[in-house]
Amino acid sequence: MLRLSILLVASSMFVGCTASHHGFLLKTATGERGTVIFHDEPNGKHGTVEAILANGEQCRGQFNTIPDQVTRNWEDHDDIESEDTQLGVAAFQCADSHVVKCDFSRAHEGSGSGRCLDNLGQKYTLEL
Amino acid sequence: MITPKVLLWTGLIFPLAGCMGTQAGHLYNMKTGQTSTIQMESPEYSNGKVKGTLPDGASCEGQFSEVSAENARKITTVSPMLTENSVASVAVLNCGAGKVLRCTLARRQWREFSYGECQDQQGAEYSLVF
Repeated sequence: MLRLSILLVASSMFVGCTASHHGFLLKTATGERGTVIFHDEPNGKHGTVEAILANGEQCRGQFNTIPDQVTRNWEDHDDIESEDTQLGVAAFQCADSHVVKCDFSRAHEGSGSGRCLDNLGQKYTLEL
Repeated sequence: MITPKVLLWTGLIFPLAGCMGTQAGHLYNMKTGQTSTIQMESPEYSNGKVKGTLPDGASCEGQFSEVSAENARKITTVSPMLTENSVASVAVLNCGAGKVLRCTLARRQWREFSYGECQDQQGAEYSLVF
């Protein structure tokens, strides 16, 4: 009983592993390339983002998604069996008062693309 | 002394706690770059309360309600990406001193919120990510 209880507590705190997807952030005006990493939670629906802009600025933030194309259970049409593609938003804070927001789409395995805009009016292309 | 029963209850309560209560989102002012947080109460329901602060420190309170994507576009001036497999909600927050924040939010059916777009009556736009 004691071992079972300890195991349950431990498993509730360390469920699953995060998956990371590496990509690039290309500044539209200059073509300069920064890097971005999406750290997915085990459910594959949201997570945290880390980025390093081309000028070396380090950024951290969050992303979250909604289902786009899905596969539904043929017996229960309300049940989504898998999210084949997702649309999402990532927002991250870089240097003081510099934020970047990206609208993106991605496939189940994490590859995708998006468009980003920061509060300075600079545009970026996101490649995942 | 930690008994097996205490551990068992702890193990059951930790996972459940993540499914109930409030959901916090990060609000980004896309003009100034400042950030703050917004809390949604009972986020898995079709309507509920919202509270939080604007990046300038103003306290806000309001309500959210589920609406069709078409009506969300009529009610608010900003709209996040929505799909036929997502659900739209609209939140209106009173932030004092005549300031009102209107948000359109996207989420999965019966699930917590994913993201949103907001605008105040001065036209300042905010991005919201949960």
